[in-house]
Amino acid sequence: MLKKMMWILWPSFIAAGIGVGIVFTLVDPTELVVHGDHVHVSRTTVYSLGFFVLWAITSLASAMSCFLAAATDARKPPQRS
Amino acid sequence: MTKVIPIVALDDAEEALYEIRKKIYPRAVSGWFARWRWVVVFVTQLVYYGTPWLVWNERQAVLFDLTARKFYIFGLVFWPQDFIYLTVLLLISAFSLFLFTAVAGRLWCGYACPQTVYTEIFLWLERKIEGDFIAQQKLDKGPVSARRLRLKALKHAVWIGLSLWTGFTLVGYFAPIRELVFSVAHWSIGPWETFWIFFYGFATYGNAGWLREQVCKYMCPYARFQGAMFDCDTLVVTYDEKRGEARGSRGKKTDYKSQGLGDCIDCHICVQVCPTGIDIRNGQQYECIGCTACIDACDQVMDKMSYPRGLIRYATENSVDQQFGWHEMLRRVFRPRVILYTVLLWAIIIATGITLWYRVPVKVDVIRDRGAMSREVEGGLIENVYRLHLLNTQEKPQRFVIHVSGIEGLQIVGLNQPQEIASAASKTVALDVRVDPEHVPKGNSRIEFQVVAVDAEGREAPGTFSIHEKATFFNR
Repeated sequence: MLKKMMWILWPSFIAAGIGVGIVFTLVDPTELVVHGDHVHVSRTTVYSLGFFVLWAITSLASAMSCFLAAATDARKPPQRS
Repeated sequence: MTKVIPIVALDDAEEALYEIRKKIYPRAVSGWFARWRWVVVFVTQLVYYGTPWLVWNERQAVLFDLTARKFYIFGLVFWPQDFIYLTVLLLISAFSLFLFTAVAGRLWCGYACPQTVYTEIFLWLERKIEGDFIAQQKLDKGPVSARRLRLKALKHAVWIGLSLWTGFTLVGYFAPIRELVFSVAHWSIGPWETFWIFFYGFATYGNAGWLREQVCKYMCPYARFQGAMFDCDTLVVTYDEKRGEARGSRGKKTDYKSQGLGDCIDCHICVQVCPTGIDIRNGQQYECIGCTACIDACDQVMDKMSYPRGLIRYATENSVDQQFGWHEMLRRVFRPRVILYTVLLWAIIIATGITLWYRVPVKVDVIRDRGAMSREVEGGLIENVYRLHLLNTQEKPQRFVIHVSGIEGLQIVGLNQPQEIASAASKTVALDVRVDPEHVPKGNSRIEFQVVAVDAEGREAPGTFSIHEKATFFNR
């Protein structure tokens, strides 16, 4: 289980890190408009929250890959030693 | 006809999914490579913990100021517009890694990877507190006693302390570290700073204290694809099978060769020192992080037995197979892939150096006023409104004069010249550009803004610079 958690959380962490870097290099959080209104929180908050939102999404992708890969493996005949 | 489908129990597969990790108690090792690893540990940690405290131009020398969206690296100030340099940095790191890996395998893993470095430090602390690997095993297997609880509590307290300091240092790269010390001392530290200190501290504690070699085995992508950078002339930690086999114990004075034995005395010390718990004698394995602990350990055993050193050594697959020495191995370093990586790496480094050297310390963006495309003003002139976003990347104030050209009789109105921009700051100036409609056709025309740096008296002094930025003038 721990191994699976590592497989899911770690690659998505790296991907989220890269993603947040690219997004916030191009976008200044103070210029963000959410539901027609400017966000009224500090940049640090937007960076941090942005990172976690991205991490959650990338984790979801990792988890799905993990789930699909495991489902495929289970259909293989068990190997005889 | 009936077909019988055999039913096979899946117990094995189940077990493999929930493999229980056996804790590895690596034996401490000393020797030439171990000493070098400690040198690298000291240097990297000195750089890591020390850098945020350096001062340059009366500010923190290296500060990735995310709140102000400016990165300070000694004399240079980078803005989001300099994103390309971050990409270049990644390219340089990647090619360096390819190059080192092609030449000498997992040098990065064995010596410089934070995972290795912190595990090394944590193992050292563990040994100082709990004793050597045998004492540690005894302690873990023994009954719960006051001594055990005390030692464990002390160990984790020290680990957590170091982890928090590591987290604090990391945050110190993003928020001024001296102010951070002040706010920690006064319990006035911001919520996100606190969070990230604990987050990174926890990651350090978990990775170096608990997960250790599992990070390399299950989490590290480099460990999986490094094989693609290896070839038969890559230096890797190798057990010389031809020399070592058949392994077996023997007395020091025995003529083992007459008994058909090789140089390996099967003492298992190479296995005991291995932080990932593998037996290097089974050949190259992906778990091997190239830490060379087994080389040091085996050399000591060889010395004790008065056998030549190097039963386990840095060697290439070809050198072991074809039995050639260092000279030939070094000659083979200069092979096409290594030369290609080197050329690419230097080309990128030199190109980056040149662009940094000639970097114009100001950036200009022209933004057309979106509301009014063009309008007629007094005197029958056609006017367009622009906003110029000027960015001064130098750490001193700079004065500019803005000119415009491209259409005969273009003039700038409504702008105080020269404009001054504070050190490492940006400024948006609005300006109107007017022209006689006789000189400008209907539709779009190309014009060009010229931003010229001037000295305090408003003159174009030698050594100043100018930037040209294209724009469109619209006449309906």
